[in-house]
Amino acid sequence: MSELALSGIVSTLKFFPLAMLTLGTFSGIVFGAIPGMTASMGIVLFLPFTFKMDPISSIALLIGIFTGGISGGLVSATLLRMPGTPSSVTTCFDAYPMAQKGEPGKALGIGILSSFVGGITTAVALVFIAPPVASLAIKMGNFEYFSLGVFALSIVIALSKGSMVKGLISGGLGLLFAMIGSAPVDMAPRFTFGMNSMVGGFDLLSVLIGLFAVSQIISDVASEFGVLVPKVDTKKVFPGFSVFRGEKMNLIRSTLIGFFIGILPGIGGATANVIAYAEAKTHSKTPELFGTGIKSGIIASESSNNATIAGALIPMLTMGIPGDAVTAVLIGGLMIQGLQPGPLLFKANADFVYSVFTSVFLANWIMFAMMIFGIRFFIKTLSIRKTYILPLIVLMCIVGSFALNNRMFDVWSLFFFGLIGYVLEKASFPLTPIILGFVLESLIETNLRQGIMSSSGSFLPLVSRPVSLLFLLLAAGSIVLPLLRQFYGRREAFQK
Amino acid sequence: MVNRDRFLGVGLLLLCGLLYAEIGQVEMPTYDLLGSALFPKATLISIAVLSAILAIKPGVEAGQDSTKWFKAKNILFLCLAAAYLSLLSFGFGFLLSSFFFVSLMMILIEWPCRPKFCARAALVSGVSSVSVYWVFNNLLQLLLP
Repeated sequence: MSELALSGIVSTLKFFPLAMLTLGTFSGIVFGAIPGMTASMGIVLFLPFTFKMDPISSIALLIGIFTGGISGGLVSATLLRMPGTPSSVTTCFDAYPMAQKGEPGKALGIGILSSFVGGITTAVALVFIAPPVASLAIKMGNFEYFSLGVFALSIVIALSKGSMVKGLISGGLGLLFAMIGSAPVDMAPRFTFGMNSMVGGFDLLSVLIGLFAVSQIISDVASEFGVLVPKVDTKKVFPGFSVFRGEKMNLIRSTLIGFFIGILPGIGGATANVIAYAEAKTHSKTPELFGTGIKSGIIASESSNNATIAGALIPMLTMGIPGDAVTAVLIGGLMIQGLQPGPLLFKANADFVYSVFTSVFLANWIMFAMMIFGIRFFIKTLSIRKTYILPLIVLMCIVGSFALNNRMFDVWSLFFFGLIGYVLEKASFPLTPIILGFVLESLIETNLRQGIMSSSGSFLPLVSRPVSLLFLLLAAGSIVLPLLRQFYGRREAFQK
Repeated sequence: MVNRDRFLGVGLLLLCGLLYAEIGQVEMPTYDLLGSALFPKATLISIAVLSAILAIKPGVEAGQDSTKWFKAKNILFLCLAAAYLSLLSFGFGFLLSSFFFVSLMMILIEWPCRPKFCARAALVSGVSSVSVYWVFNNLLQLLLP
């Protein structure tokens, strides 16, 4: 192991980064457990605290919230049939019926253990997969990056829930928002309408916080949910590893599904969760028992959603492409620290990269210990009233967005994007493609313009370079295949 | 009731037209073969085509959130936020503006509420505003709006 890797690991094991990791994991579980609060909201809340921290402590805090946030969702999914986070949707299907049968402790225990196994195995895989991917990424040129950007955007749009037209519009809006301000290459002002404050464009974090946190707050202000938390025998939470007897294949399959779906940009834990559950049901000898409170369903759901964490960090760290909304916020968090995610991060800040790996690994252990021993406390957090939390989150959003550049424009844009996110969600537009479009616009435009300049105006390298061609073909496939499937599906239905 | 897809489709189409007129004024540098206007124009045309599809062939209304776009509380919250940001923009000060904003937001969420809750909201907002101010302004030495 290189000296830098060792230095990264040792730096994370110091008191302050470890304390931040523990605090982050704890807060993440609380945020994940409360329905309506998400890991991204938790990160947003704590982001202003990281401004004055060192990069290692800062990323430890954020990774802790990410891991805790995904895991905490199972508490409300099991006890209230409300997924605390979108990543715990299918946990409700079996954990809630099991809890209703009088075994809430067992349901929570299976969920916690599956989350831990899914998270810890993929954290180890991250260490071995991310460096080779970064080595490959460093060899890519302008045309390859352009094609990769197009491919990343196409996957998100193709997998948008419901209408593909809406997914495409969302992606287009993301690209458009990113174009506001000075253009890359020649710095020409675009869509500024003569306003000086628009020349700098929208800040990534204001867009993210607005779309995901403020829009949720606008919605939550008028929502009403009373919570009646059931009693749980917290002495019987740890089920022991024997719970995986006969479930090894299910566990491995679901973990792999979560990990690889996490790698694909913009898809995230919610999709992994649903696919892993569906696969577990397909391969089960007793598919009819799914949804009645069996452990296979909980194992598939919880191991897959925690496995997406390490998966989502691979494109983020190696290419600067966010795997989901939370990693998009993490990219913003790294930029605050002056770190640019991408292949060069592995060369210039290798010790930092290894501290990220260590944080992911340790966060899973901390999450496991906290949830097994402190489950009684996390169940109590379900009764926290939103009246006290929401105003505080708004204050933190404002502090965070203002502190980025010390300009009120970012604070106003925060609410502007909150309103846009709220309206689009009401009309069933997916929000993730907007973020991906916003993040990828610069990658796509800058690389194509620079590439065309370096090739003296020739577009040929786009198809003559094998890696670029591969990404473009994959992009075309990911758009065309769902359309074909839709077409044949309709034709079949018409014939019937 | 106007279909939301149709409404948004027409709205986006108009927005694309407005922005297309704006981007036409961007000058083309001689050294850059693609220029700064190409990507915005391509994006605007794509969004316009998709918006037209959405407006002509909207999705089924049942597939969407069937509740109203905005409830009274949503609108009041947005007005409250706009007033808060205006106060911050005109130099009313973070501490005082936040105190009013947090207490009014708490009352808004809890509405209809008892007078006793208003006193509690004032206390909680006072404590939270001072805490946030102290932590970020004094402890972390960040500039606050």
